[in-house]
Amino acid sequence: MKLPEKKPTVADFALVFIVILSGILFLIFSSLGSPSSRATVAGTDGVFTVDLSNDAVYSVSSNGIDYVIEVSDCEIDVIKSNCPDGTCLNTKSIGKRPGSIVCVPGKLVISCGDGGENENGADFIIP
Amino acid sequence: MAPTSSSRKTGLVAKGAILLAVSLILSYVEALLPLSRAIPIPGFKLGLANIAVIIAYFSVSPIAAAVISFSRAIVTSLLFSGVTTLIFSFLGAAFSFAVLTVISHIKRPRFGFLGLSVAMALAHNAGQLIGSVIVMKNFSILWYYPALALAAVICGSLTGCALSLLPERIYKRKV
Repeated sequence: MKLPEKKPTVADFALVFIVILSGILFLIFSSLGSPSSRATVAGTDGVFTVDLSNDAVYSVSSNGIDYVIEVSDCEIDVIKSNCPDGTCLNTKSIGKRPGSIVCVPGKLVISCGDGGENENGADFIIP
Repeated sequence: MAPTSSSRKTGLVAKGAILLAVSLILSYVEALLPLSRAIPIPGFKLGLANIAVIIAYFSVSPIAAAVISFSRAIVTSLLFSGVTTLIFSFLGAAFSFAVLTVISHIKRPRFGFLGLSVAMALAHNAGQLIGSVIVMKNFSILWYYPALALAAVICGSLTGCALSLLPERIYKRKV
């Protein structure tokens, strides 16, 4: 077991280059995807799918945490939450781009894209 | 006067305890920073505590580093984030420690502190995301991995630079 080199090696640069390249390529390809028409909201109280073409505001509870979710301009976003973490509030809205909004303390996942389009497992659909 | 075997062991235990305290302080400092506002990715952290784990791995022993890594994961989860995140932290610590062990034994290609830190950060994020998938039973969380991987490169490079700047005697198994 030898101490790693203090100066960056070729292997270091190769690793950094591969990760940056694949990360950027993934982000570019995912942003090129077509906008989602539906989003899946999965919490501890159930799973439901919302239609992103209709602007609406939903109140959702998951794992004892309350959320206000807004659908506006074909995008979905968490606009209010009493979760102590706040990451879900700071995450950008999704819909025009695939992705997900996750709240770890509330065990809530809002997803669009490949996962979000799949209505399998949804308890009900809100038009 | 040369140190005896028992005094050397005591010295290494003391060094391990100091490094555990350092890792907890670094985690506390991280918890104070409003990172989730600047970069809203669940599980995003600077990973400063990895500095203490890597120092312990080379200057004390791999077992001491494992103890520090897992103890820190348990204590910081209970103190700063809650029991829910315990599995994320634990899996993150397990994955990054596994990568540390593998890379430290690889002769070719030879990695430096920068590559080691980046690889550990990537593994930590992978472990955390797998933990999230297990707890939340939702694969959509994996969408975050590319963004987390880019963040891991930046944070891993920072900790790698910090490790490179430390004097070499810190990594020696001397007390």
